[in-house]
Amino acid sequence: MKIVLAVDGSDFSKVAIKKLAKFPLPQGSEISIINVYEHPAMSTPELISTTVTLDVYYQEFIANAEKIGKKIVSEAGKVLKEKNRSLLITTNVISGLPKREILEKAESFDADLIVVGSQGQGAFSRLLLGSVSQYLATHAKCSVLIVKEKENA
Amino acid sequence: MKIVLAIDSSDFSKVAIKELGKFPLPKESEVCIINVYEYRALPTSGLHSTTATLYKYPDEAIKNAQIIGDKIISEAIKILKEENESLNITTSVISGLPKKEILEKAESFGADLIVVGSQGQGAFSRLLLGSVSQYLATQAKCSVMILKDKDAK
Repeated sequence: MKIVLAVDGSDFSKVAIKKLAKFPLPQGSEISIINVYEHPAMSTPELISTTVTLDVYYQEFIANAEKIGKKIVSEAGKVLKEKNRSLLITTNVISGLPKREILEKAESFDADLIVVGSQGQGAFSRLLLGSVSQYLATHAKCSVLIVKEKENA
Repeated sequence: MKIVLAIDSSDFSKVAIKELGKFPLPKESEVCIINVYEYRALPTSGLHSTTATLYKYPDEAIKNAQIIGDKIISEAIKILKEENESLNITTSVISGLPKKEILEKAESFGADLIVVGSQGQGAFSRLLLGSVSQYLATQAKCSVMILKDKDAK
């Protein structure tokens, strides 16, 4: 079974990781854990500047995003491995629009299943009750599991 | 793990049933299969009549919906059992608004997971890329899995 698990640093993602670990996934299942960060210039392209300061800012932003992302995906990998040693785990930190990058990863990885938390990190996403999950639910070609922690459980 | 599987007679539901059968679920998982039919008199309750003919019509419609629902469900049981013998299966055919009844069933059953196909029967749903799935993805208190067959085209 091939699974793409998309995570950010949110508690919703932590729940998704924990719940995915509870399924008795077939031996040797392949899990691609990805973290997608948005490049700050993507939301405000007119602010792209060639002055040294801004350029340095972007470089730092990317370096930090990569660092944080790597930590998030490696921790997720650890949690999954603890439960099931036979899993083949790969991790990636990707820059781009989360919903689009998740779908692209699912296609290139030939995933049977995409797993996400019910809401992501963005304040805007939260308003929309998880715009990424909703987008995936309607646009993915494979199955999608939107994980939530049941209330009072 | 407690699962509500909501199905209608669509091909999307058939895919969901089959994929759920193949899905690596914990042993002894409980699956409650439900079929929800909309009572046609619902939107126009003012049109209720006491004349014999019209009065009989909704009775017959309900009876037929029950029969069809039972048939859809018994076929689903067969497929699920073939793929995964260890499942404990219960069923019910319910009259009401699908998205609302599915959520209510999930709560009363104490479901950890709701499973649906990517699109339902309604022509309107189809336009909206599965309005029920989308509603569930955002409104359910438990996890939601939208099952698709990625190789089907």
